[in-house]
Amino acid sequence: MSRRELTRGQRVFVALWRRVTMAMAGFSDPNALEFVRTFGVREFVRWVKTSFDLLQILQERWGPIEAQMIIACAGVWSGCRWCSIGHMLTGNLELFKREQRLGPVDEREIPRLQLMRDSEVLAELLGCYCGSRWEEMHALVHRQYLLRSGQVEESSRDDQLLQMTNYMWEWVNECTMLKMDLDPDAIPAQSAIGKDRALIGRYQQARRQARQHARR
Amino acid sequence: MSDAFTIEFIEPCRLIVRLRGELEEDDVRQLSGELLPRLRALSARGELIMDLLALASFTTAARMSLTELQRGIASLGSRTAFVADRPRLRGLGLYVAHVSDDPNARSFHLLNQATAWLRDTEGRLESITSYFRRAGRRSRRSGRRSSDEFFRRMARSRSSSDSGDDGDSGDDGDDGDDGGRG
Repeated sequence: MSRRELTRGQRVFVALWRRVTMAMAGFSDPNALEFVRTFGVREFVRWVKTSFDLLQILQERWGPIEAQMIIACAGVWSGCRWCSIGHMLTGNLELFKREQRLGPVDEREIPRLQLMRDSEVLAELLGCYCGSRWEEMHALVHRQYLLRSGQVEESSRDDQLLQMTNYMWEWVNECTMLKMDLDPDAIPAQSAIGKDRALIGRYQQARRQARQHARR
Repeated sequence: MSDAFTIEFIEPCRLIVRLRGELEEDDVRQLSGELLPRLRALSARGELIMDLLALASFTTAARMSLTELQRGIASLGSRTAFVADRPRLRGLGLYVAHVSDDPNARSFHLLNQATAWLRDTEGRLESITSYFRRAGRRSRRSGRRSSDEFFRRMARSRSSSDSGDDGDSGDDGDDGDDGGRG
């Protein structure tokens, strides 16, 4: 936890990690230095491995769109702007690519949501995830909140996955929280889909139109 | 005295600080001047609840001052639980805890979560890694599904980390081995 200087080896790792994220997801991870300073290289690499494993399990259980949205909601409740916007954008891009539609939660709205009280945030999220397409997600969002706030105990394997996601991202929010004032537009998608510039362009255009329509 | 906060003893070694309204740097400076002497005067480890339920907003300067205050609290060995029902304010608690290098401060949604954690001895990150271990053990007992292997590995890797071994091929993280942390 000490705010020590990085060793030469750690600095090399940070530079390498930034190249890896650039190659894999299309952005140079601005949190890398803080991750290594806080956790050290081995602990951070372990988190990366296990979080990828968890993502895979979430995808197997609920699909690639919902998996990203569940992670985004974990970030919403922590108050982390980087994770919540980044993963909601990723889920929304996956949805746009696969189903040619916009996700019900606009990632740009998340900073506004995070200023609200939990009950209001929950009501707004549940209101967004409505209709038959989002029936399962509606229940998951509610359950994930109840688990995180300690209002229910885990009673199923699905609960365990939701709570593991809450804890796993609380761990990483330790460092990403430093980006709590970052411009929402500067937060990239958190997977390889972030490299698909053409898709992102089409998504942003559709999202802009939806925002204009909503303002009218 | 600033009307942005109140300080109250709710148990002999447990204080509750209630912040409200729009928090500014001067408010935090005054809070430091009143809170730290009370914590110093305690005969045992202090437990502090920072109640942010009535806090509406904070300036960047107030956030930095809270970080300084938290360093002072950490140096006294006190534990701090931030309680907030707005995500942004839980984020503030985590930011302050992290930047001040205080391992014994953590944010919560509800007061009962906070008081349970204050009674414990685990630090913020230790509480999280403890959860990973417990989840792994539960899977080991029930284990049939594909995700069980994941939870088992979580338990294994956390156990080996606790014992100072950073490798992933350590002991099986079996029941009863809590790595000395409960």
